[in-house]
Amino acid sequence: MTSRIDELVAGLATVRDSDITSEPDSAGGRALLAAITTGKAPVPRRHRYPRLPWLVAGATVASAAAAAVVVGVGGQNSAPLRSYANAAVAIDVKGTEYEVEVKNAYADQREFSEAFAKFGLDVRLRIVPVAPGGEREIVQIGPLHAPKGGMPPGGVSGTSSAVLKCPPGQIACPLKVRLGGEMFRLGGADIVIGRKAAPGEVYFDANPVQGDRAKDLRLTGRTVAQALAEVLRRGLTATFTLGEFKADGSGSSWDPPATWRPAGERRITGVWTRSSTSVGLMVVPQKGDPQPHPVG
Amino acid sequence: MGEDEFADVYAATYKPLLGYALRRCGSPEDAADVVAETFAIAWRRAAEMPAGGEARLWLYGVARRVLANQRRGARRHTMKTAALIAELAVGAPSQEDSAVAEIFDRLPDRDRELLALVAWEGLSNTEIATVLGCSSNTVSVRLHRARKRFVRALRSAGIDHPAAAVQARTVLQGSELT
Repeated sequence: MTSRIDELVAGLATVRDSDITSEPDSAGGRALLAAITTGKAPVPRRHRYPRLPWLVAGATVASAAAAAVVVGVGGQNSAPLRSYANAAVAIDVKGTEYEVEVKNAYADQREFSEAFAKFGLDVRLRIVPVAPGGEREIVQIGPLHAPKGGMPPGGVSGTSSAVLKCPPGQIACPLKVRLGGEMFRLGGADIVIGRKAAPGEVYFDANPVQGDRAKDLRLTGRTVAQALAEVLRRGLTATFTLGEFKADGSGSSWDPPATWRPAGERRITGVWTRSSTSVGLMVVPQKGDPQPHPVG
Repeated sequence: MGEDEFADVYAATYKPLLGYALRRCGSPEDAADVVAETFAIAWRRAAEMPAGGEARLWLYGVARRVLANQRRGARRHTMKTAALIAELAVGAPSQEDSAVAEIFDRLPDRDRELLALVAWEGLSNTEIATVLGCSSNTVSVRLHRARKRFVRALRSAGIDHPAAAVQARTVLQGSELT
């Protein structure tokens, strides 16, 4: 009964997330954010961790569960920190490598970033909706931004590893991350972990591909008209991407306006699942198609 | 929480929250009000807002109360809301679908919200417990009862085999929060 009733209720939703074209960075989204943040200032956090002075090497403070423990050298001419721990995160520095342990990756993102900031590192932990099977796993680790001060001669390199222990049913999911090298010191790190997507919510990892990558959908080589008919028959929606990839995976793609549709006789070159209710369809760009927007 | 952190939470939760509001409001205008009020409360109470995925659940909880307040006032403007729904509808749902929707709408608010949090927001019992501020056992029991009441109401209306998917949808492509 349960799944049938849930399906019935799901069908009553007048709006799916994939229908919503408004984005947080659209004009409406930005205007709303600006209106909110120019309003009454937020109340300071009630249970904020006490701001502790930097301590002499080797000393520790264990006054409260929420207290931070910092190990370094005090004073104006401080030596670099070697370790830091708060209630949620512990970081150790070994040479040029940073090792961090988070008690619960799905609850402690703020403490995670705050802890890294103690070392001057710009590290963000993000939770994103992913395709079924990718939940509770690390989706990607990479630089957060371009290297501070510009790209050094010869470029930068870095190493990373991460272990997320999060079997289904487990509430607290410990995360261990190791970051090493100039890449992360200068460019920060963006650590992305997956969560279950809501019905219709677009997966973070829904990237354009060449060929058929949607469950049970064989549309590559078929015309746009045929593909749309099949997608509609299955109760799904379609979003088009313009692009072309070579056999080695190299290539490029871009998104035309959401309402754009290629002519019905053009051929589909790639199909992938975007969400529980939508698929992406790729066609090779032609003269007259929407062009990619220049970046920067 | 600083402005940058708040902006990150805003970016991560904007669409889920908009979807939450749109699915429960009679018009994009009402939904926009709910989203704006919810984020305004979140900004004022940023100190209490949890980080990460929990923020979305916390915001659902705030939005639920904002929506309840709005509904108390909205009852005085039923005609205006009905007109907006009519403008946005893209095709009337089939007779049976309409009947199912009507029965769902007549369920107690608490039953409807529980069923919707599962089917529309895709939340687990534990996540719903966070939204509603109760235990997951309580959610489990209430959900079981809500499903039974819905099934009973459908049967009372002579609907024993409702269509699995109801195609009552609203056009929202132009419903930006501008």
